[in-house]
Amino acid sequence: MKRHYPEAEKRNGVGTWASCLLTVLLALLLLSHAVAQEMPAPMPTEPEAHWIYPLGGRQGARVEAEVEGRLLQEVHAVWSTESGLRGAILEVRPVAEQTKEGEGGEKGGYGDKDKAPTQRVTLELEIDPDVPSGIHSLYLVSGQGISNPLSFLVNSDPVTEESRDAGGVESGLRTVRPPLILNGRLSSDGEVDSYALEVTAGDAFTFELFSPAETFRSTLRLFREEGSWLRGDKPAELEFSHKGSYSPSQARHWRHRFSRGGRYLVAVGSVYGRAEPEFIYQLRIAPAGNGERYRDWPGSVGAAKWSERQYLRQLPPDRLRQLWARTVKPAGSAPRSKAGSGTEKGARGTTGTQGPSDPSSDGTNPTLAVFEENEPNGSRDQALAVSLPALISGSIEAPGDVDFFRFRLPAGQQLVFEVETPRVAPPAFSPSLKVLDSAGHPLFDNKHRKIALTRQDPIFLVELLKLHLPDRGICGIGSLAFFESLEAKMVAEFGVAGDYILQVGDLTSQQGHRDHAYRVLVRPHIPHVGELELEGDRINLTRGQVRKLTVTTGLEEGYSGQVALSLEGLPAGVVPLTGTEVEPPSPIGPTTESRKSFLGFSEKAVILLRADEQAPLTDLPVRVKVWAQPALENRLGTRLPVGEVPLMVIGSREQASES
Amino acid sequence: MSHRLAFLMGMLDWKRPVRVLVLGLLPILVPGHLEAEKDRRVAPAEPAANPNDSAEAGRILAPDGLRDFRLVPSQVGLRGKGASQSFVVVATDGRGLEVDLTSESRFDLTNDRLAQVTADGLLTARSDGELQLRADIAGQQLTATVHIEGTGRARPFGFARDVVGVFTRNGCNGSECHGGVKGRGGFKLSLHGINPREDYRWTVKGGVYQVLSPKAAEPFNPRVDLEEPQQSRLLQKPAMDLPHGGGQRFERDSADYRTLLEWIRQGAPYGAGGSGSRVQRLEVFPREAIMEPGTRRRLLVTALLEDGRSQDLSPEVLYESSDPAVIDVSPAGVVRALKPGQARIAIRAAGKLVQVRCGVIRQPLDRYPRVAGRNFIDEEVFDRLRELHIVPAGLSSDSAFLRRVCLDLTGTLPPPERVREFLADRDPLKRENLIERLLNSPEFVDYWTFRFADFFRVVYRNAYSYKSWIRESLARNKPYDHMARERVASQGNGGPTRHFIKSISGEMMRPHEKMGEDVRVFLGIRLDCAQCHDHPYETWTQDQFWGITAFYGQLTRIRSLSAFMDDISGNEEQPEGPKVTHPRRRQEVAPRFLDGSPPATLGGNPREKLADWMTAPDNPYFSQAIVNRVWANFFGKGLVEPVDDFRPGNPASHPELLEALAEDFRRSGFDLRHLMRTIARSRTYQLSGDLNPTNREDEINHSRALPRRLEAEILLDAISRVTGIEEAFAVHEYVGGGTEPRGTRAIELVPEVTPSQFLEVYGRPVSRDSMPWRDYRSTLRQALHLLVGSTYTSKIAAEGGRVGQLLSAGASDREIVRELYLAALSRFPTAEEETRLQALIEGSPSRRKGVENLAWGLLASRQFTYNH
Repeated sequence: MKRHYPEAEKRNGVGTWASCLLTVLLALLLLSHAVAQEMPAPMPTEPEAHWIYPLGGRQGARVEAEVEGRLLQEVHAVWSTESGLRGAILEVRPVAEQTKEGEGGEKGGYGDKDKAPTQRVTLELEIDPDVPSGIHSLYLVSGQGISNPLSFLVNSDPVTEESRDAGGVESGLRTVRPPLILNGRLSSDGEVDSYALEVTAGDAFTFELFSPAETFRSTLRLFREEGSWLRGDKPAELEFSHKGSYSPSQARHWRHRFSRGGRYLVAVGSVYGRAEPEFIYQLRIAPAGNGERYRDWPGSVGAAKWSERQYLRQLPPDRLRQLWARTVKPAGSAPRSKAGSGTEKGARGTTGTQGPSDPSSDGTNPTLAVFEENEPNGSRDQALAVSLPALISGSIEAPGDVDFFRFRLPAGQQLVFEVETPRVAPPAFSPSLKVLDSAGHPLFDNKHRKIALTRQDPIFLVELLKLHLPDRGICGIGSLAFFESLEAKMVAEFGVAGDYILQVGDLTSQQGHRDHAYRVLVRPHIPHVGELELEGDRINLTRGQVRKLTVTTGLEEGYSGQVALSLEGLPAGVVPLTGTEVEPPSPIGPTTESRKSFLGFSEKAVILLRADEQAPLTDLPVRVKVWAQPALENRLGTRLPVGEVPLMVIGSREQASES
Repeated sequence: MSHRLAFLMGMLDWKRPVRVLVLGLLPILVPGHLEAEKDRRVAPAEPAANPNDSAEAGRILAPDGLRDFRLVPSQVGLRGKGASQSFVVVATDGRGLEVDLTSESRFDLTNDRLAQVTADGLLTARSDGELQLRADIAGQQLTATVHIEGTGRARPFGFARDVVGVFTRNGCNGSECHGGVKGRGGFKLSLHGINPREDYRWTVKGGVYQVLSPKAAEPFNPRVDLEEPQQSRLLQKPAMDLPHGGGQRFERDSADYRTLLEWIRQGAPYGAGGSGSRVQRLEVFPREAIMEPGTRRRLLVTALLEDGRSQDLSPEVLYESSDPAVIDVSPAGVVRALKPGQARIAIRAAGKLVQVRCGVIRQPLDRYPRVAGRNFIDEEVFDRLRELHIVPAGLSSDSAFLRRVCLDLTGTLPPPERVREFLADRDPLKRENLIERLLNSPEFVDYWTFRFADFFRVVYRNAYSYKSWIRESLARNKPYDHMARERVASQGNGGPTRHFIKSISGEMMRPHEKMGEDVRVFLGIRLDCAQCHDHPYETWTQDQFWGITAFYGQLTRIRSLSAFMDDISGNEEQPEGPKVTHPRRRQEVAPRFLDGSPPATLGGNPREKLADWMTAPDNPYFSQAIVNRVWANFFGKGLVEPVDDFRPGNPASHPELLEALAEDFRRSGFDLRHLMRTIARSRTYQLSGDLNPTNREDEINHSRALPRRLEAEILLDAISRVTGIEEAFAVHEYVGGGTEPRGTRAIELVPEVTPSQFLEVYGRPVSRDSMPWRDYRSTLRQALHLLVGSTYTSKIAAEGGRVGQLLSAGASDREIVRELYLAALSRFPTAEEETRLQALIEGSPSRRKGVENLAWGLLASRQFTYNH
């Protein structure tokens, strides 16, 4: 007897629909992948520079370098914003399509109409002795305009190019003597560059690796040149030296103390032995204790720039003044900050002000109290009382260490909590902020839960389409997922007057170190202009045509005014025009509440630059500076730098051929 | 075997196609290379390191006079009407074997009014009182005291004991029958009667079991008919009055039928199965039986009840032999030895399990030789061998030991110069010194990182920092309990947290997946089946599964940092613990350890509490699981096998040794190097693979070294090492392509991203996303690869390789033969081998071809592809 199972049929029906949906989704995804893979790279319309090798040179030196890119056949000059860094073009030649060394095909040119040809430019760079150490931008200039910038590192240490025999981890290599800089490149799969070091027992060195290649996941390994008992013919790798990262990063550093003297090998490689011509690096080996050069250099990772949410940004005692400088001070009676500034009786700490010449009479520059945590403060009962606004410093020195601070608020306050990690940033040290009420119940924290689009690869989609049972990590269907981040700034509203507790700790209960220092700024909310971003790294403007310049403006903490943009340094015949642009709707994004508390808002402005038909052509780029000014209640605030962009006026191809 | 190899090589030039046909015969001509091994003697006849150490097999003799007669049990109390007790008579024969004389004994009673006894020793109570049971055997009179009470009233009926006992004895609640996950034919029982309350409900009320709901589904068809008891399906099905998929389980006039019928007639009560009379555990006599083929032993099974009394259950339990070809057991519990070997008899009743270890010996030895042990391992192993009358092989030769210990500790073959050095060393402690050297070598760290990467599940999504953490932990000799704690309770984005990441999607594992993996890795227990239902073969329940899963319930991933943390809600005074929902009950599950106890406090990182419990010295599983894994590395199989399947139904081959190793490991501070040192120093590990008449059939008692095929990665690295040509490993395009740097060894690879035909052919796990499984079987693909695969042919013939270097250095044929033997087999060739092989090289079409053939023959030999 055949039984009837309506529930099962219903489930089967759902299953059929789900299967169909899954099939269609997968088919679409695979199709889109296939199409995307078959799409040829678009023909460039302006010079493109992909890499420069070597990556840098020493002050006062002449360096012969190679640049590879596209539409470089007509380059005639090297240009830099640093006047002491000059260059001359020695040779331009087409290169093979295969980009990896040793895999060369026939020379390029325009043989394959779907692919843009590649050229290699040989140039000579002259570095004046007074060029400051750091990362500088180099551009190539041709009749078709200016290229994108290339990072070029100028050092004060001796610079050595990659040893020609540094092709693997072998004994008998030439010895290098720190401090020095080594320029190298991993262009063949499986390549490892090794350098021999002679050390005495107890020597400690810092190894810093810099590479501008976004996909270069570098590894650095140390070997003792003499082999082991079992494998005497192979250098033996030192334990605890195996360093590397799955994630690419511009700058890395390692430190190692050698317990035994002798000859060692330093081997630079990449994860899985992957290599590309642009896997160009600079390795600095120096006695330990001299800081991290690459990280601290201007222009590199963590460089000084207005930042709202970078953990490594600085929160100085005059942070409030900086913030007020990014808005328009109210006319007449100042809008009082919504946060009270009543000091807690008996609060420990010192008081820092904005300076005696800048009293806070208008309410825009209140006194900022500076506090140092004072152990024991590991429970609510031991919380250090602080007055607001406050800048609190401390460190999470041991796993499980938690610091508590107490503050008092009148009703209806809105506060901003900002956290800086001056020495070690997440994920090594991930500062967790929690605000508790006086009974210890959590009210706010800096963990931001949001919904967002995730990656679109088919395998991932298949995983997500599986029904997730209750799971805290991820739950979602399709390519939507909820995930969490730890924010360096949060805005919180306090409706009720009373005592509150700020709890600072590590995200985990397992990390702690004296370098896990934090600085927390608790301040009134100040509507202001946030981060300013200039899209694009150069403008090649053809006579008679327009190009757009896009500026993204952060609007923080409810800033409701406008932002005026202005340009400086435009060449003759080029005029700015106000432009508009419809922003495409975001499919799924953070909610308004989420933006208010954690992310802020942003706006985009478009300036159109028009070159007259008779605008003089520029042989070299001119530097165009972009400024922003907050505008509120019909008044303008202070000018804020947005950025600088090199611009060239060029002729059209027709004009070029006529001339 | 060597002369056959030489003969074969003399015939062959493996580069010529015409010879391929002949080469195709190689698996046949070279015995055991690709077929299942018949003859375990793999090492050539070399003198033992110390001939005096070699154990001498004793003389086999016939049975002798009997002694130590016993009547078991010697004292017993019976309660209730019809209570009974079986007795056995045993004695020790002149060879030290305990023999069962029950059937040869004559029984009588001091008072026939109180009880009666059968010829095979079954005593049944009649009236209250005390009497003596006498057994006469071979002129000996043995007595047992029997105290009888309560015969005036029937023993209180108990569903749990009486009805479930019928189910168990007849196999009704086995995993293949109604004890399966969903039951069978609409009738569900708990596995082996572990949950009699539920069994009662299914039997009396009916209903269909649902995996994801605690409620039974329709139809509700009771298995008992109170109005017409004989029409109950509980009786009609097993008696085959109605069609029954399980066939006939008992006759209509059987005792089991009558028991069930009587129970139904009484209204099918749950009865007095409750207080006092529940079975706490089972005991069996004997716990171990050493027998000769053709002999029998009767088992006595006693239930120890909650109220402290005991009861004979011998005729009421289920007996199952693990190897019926060696040991057969009747439903009445009579064991029959069939052929030499070992087997276990599992005895199940009332949801409990007890096992009997049986060994069948070929013939007893009159004089067992003295075998000097070196440490407690040897004591345990050799004691067991003595019991089984198996004489262990002699000590391995220095060269065999060198090769074996280098492979087991470092996965690396010793180079020729080190073999020479070791063989020439006259230091009596040179083996100990070698072990220390290897334990402190960088190759030790490489190799054990590879080993741990296998069972710690290093996958390409988590490989880098996770593997670095493993490597650093091993290099620092971090105590294993610290490693476990760091992994189980890991937070942040450091190396150990990476094991939360799945391989394919890169997403975080779900709580029950994380739990299942940690429990399997650190406790050697497979709980996975209990996710959806109570474990089908063991006593792990769904509640236990979700209770321990709850420790992982609040683990959260901070995606922006790729960091993990425990998101504990509530406040510091009242933290809210992990949240996991039971899939059947749809209720939040509180965290509970596997033993059912809750953590003392909530809050903080709950997995730290779990890690405390897991690694606690009184948790037997933790230490036993890892020492078993390490043991398996040195001997090819664990004391518990599979190594991650600890459960009552799968006991250790040497439970005392396992516990002794675990205890020593705990006392050493969970020191992995100490554990390996202890094993490698033992004589047991250093035995040769030589056969003698007593150890020929033995495969589990460590009476000799068993050859183990090299794992794919080790084999490939060894081939590269012998040929002197390193392997180039391409990286899969889906991670960006590339080639691993020159000199990278196979044991350093992440399998998923480094495709290798050789490694896959030889059984490397393709993915470690789930439980990694290595295939050690010999296959046709391996044979083809051996014959024509580039791994062998290219490496041997490559310029710059060992063969080329020897030839260009002007080495003589003798030097070449010796060098290749040392490189591949870690030994010198025998004089005969040397002579014949030199002649074969000379007779080759070209000298180079002759040497290449020799190299190929060595790499193809079992002596090379096995660790022995």
